[in-house]
This record gives sequence, structure tokens and C-alpha cells, in this order.
Amino acid sequence: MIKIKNIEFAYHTELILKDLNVDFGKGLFSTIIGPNGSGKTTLMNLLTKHKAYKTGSIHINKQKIESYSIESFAKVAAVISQNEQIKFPFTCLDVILMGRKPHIGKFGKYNDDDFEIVHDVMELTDTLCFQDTLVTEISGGEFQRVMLAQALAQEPEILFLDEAFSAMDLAYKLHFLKLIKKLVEEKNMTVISVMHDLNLAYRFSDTICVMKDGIVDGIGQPCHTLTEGRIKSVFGVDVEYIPEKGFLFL
Amino acid sequence: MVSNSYVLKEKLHKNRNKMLIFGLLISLVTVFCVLFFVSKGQAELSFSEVYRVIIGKLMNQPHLFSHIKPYKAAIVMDIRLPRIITALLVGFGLAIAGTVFQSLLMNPLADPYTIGVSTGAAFGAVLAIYLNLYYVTTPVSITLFAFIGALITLGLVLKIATQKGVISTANLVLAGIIVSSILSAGISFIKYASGEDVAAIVNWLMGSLASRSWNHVMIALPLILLGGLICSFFGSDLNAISLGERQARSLGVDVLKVRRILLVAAALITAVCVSVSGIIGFVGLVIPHLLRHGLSTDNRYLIPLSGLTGGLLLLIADNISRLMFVVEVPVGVMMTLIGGPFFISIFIKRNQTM
Repeated sequence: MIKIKNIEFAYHTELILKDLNVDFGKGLFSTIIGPNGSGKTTLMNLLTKHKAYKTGSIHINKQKIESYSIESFAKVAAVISQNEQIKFPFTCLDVILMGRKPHIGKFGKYNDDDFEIVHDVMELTDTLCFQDTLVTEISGGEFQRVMLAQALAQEPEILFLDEAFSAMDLAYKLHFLKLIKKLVEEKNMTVISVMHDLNLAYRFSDTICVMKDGIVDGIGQPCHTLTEGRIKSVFGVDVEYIPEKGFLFL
Repeated sequence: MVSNSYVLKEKLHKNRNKMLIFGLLISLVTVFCVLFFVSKGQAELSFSEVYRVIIGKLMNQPHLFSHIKPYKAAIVMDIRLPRIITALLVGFGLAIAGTVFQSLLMNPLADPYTIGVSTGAAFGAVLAIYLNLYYVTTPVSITLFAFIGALITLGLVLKIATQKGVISTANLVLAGIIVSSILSAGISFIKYASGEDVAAIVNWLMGSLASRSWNHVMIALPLILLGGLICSFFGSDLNAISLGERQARSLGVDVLKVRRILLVAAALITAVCVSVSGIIGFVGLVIPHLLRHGLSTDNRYLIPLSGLTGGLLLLIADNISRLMFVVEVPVGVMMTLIGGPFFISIFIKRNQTM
């Protein structure tokens, strides 16, 4: 699905990604973890076409990522990132409907299918209740639900989550991770996420990619990659793994 | 499920109808105001005389106004109508440019003058007035100089704001401020150099639509309509851009390209407006603000509706300043006197509800 080969990336003279090689499989929930400065945000920026690389290659669906136009990429991939505050009084419905934009184009009209898709994702994300509320008047967590609805309305093959649920309370966070996990299993959606919570990453990911100093320290199933030893060596934190329960930070 | 999504569809449908009705209403009021204000002034004309002259001239039917005295027809066609149409165009342009600048810069308090284009136009105009006073025997065109001044300033601001091929919004505002302050100093210098004749310059700077002719309409009409069309064309992209650059990109909008096009289009509109009317503030600030909160934030509707409403507002303001006072007050001053306190009041109200 996503093939990253020999990627190098530098800001000015500082090398952030050093000869990076990773594959992310189709229909899997993959999570990138790593301490601050390990290069995970940079990798996310390259994968979502927010930044361009010079050396190496990234293929998505066997097609080079730079050969996708901005428009065609939006039909394949949706990105939820930590957002800037919106200063204009759009209704939540307006914002969610924009998720259909890649499919209908500049002057296209929404047809019945579009409305059905939008209604479905609003139901899934529990946002029907504030369809008429202004985005300037909802909380950070509610706003992230709206942005999730917008991204799902794009009907993406690949969903990029960059700390997308950071402002949600725990109940919603769990609710949406379960929802996304379900979409991965049922609709064969591919998810690439960046998360800080090791317990949530362990519980929901099919694959975990641990990054350290611009290289991949380990990739594979959570039980193989997230070991006590690796967490100690990568994050410098002592943890104890309690089977069936999770990590206990010492 | 189908019936549920039908509710959403109905909602959008109703919303669109609301916009259409509002647009029609504003257009009707505008037509009425045009006829009304054309008939008002020192020479009183009747509604039907005005109507006959305008329709007769437009449709080339001289028999419609052959019985009306020629001086009356001249007042309608050569004096009042061009001024009124210029007012409509300038209001239309400023409100659209305001809407677009606000969305582009993600700042609801931006206005067409934020990026310094107006100061460039003002500098050009002031230079032309100065040259006409002291140096040239055949007067140079103030409008043309203002327009060139605006374009050069725009180019300069864009050049300064571009870093590694990318125009960031923060750079844009900063570059606008820097260039503006240099040009303001230039204006002050010319004012100082003109000594006793400074009144001509001051009058122009205050913003006025007095004695605008068909020449002004001919300059303004094609350029403002073209700019307005371009801006409307990108309405849905502009919606995505108001969610932030990243979000817009992931919705498939080529932000850098669209931003560059809209910036040039909106600045062009501003340049034309300033060059025919001087500096008229607040239309570009108040109109989009009111419509956003009262009607819709959706730029596909907001851009054309702002234009229509802005035209109507400036038309009314200009005619109040023409008709209500013994000595005409420049409409730029009027707008700011009325618009300023009005804006303070919505600003306070908004902060209270937040």
C-alpha cells in the first residue's frame, strides 16, 4: 500500500530522516510512535504531501506520491491534523459537507449519495446534534469530531491521523478509535496514525512503527515492537507490561 | 436513512433559496434607489422623466424622452448616472475585495487596504496632483497614476512577502505595513512640498465620488466585474482555505495557486476602486462582517451578495453626503464617521457573547 524507500530529509543542515525504509500494509491500522524530535511528524508531512522530499521515494498504491495531483490525492487520502482555530462562523454541517469537495469539484452539486454519505458519517461521529451550531462556538474536542466527520465524508482509502483525538475526552477517544478500527476491518481502510499514548497505540494498532533519531527502530505487531526493553531504550522510561492490562509506568 | 439525509438536503435547499431571495431583494432596492437618487438634487426631476431618459437612451428609443428638456436629460445621463454607477461599482468592489482578503488572511478584521495597495494608489494620485499643479502643462490622469501606483505597490508587497516561492499570510501583512509606511511618508512629503495648494491633495485623499464621469465608469466596470467574477469562481476553494492551509490542501485545493490568483484579483479590484474614488473605508470591513453573521459564511454566496450589498450601501452613503448637507461632505469621511462607531458597537457586542 505505502512503500517508503531510502527517504532522507533535512531542515537546513540537520538531517531529520536518515535513509528511512518502511512499508505500511493495506487495510491495517498502523501507528507511528517515538519521542519528540524522532522524525515522526516529518514523516507524516511527507506522507501527506505537505512537504516534498529530495532523496528516496514514496509509493502509494504503486504510484509515486509526487505523481498525484493535490486534487487526486484528496480522493485517496484524508488527513486530520491538529487544526488552526477557525475564525469564521461556518456551521458544522457546512464544514462536514466540504469533505465531499474532492469528489464533486468546484461547481459540482451535492447529489443524494453525497447527502447520504454525509448523514452517515455525522451519525457515526455523533455530530448530527450540532449540525446548525457554529464551529466557532464548540469545544476543541467537539471540533475534532467535526473534523473526523469531514475526513470520513471524503471516503478515503487512507486516513492519516496526526494526534487527531488529542482534545477529546477519554470516552470519545475510545469510541472513535473503536469506530476507526471497525472501518479498517470492514471497509479495508488503511490508517496511519501518530499517537503519544502507548496503551491506546498497543490496543488498537495492527502495526506499530517505533522511530528514534530519524530511523525506524522497530516495526511489526504491537506485542513484538512495544517491548519493555525498547520503550526503555527509545523513550528512556521504565515500564512494566502487565498482560491483558497494559503498561505501567514506573 | 434516506428520509434522514433528505433533511440535510432540504436544509441546503432552503438555505440557497434564502440567499437567492436576499440577492433579489437587494437588487430590487438598488434599482429603486438608483431611480430615486437620479431624480433628486438641485434640479428636481420626476421618476417617470428619469425612467424615460434612461430606458430611452439604453434602448435607443429617442421618442421616449424627446419631450423632456435636453438639460434634464443631460443631468440624468452625464452628471448623476455616472456618479451613481461609479458608487455602485466601488461599493461592489470594496466589499468583495474585503470578503476575499478576510478569508485569505484568515482574519475577519482585514480589509482591502490591509496589504498597502490603497496607499500605493494614494501615492500615485497625490503625485499626479502635484505634477499637475507645478510641472506639466497638459494635466496627467490622476486615475491612471493611482492605478499604476497600486499595481507597483502590489508587486512590491508580493515580492517582499514571498520567501522561497511561498507567500505566507503573516509576511503579507507585514510587507503591507512596511511598504505603506514608506509611501505614507512620501505622501506627507508631497503635501509639504505643495504648500498652499495642499487642499487639492487632501480632498482627494478623503475619498469622494463627486463629479465622476463615464470615463471613470469605463475604467471601473470591466476591471471590477472581471475581478468579482474571478473571486466568485474560487468561492468553494476559499471556503476550504478559511479552515487553514493544511486542511484546504487535504481537501484537494492547491492553496498556493488559488491564494496567488485571488490576491491579485482582489488587489486589482482595490486598486481600481481607490483610483476612481480615493480612500473609502469600512465598506470592505462592515459588509462582509454583517453578512457573515446575519446570512452565511459560505463564500460561494457571500462574495456576490457582499458585492451587491456593498454597492447599495455606498450608493446610499454617497447620496446622503450629496443631498443632505449644504456643503457636500466627502463620502469617505461620511463612511468612516458612521461606520466607525457602528463597527465599535458590533465589536463590543461580539465580545460580550463570546
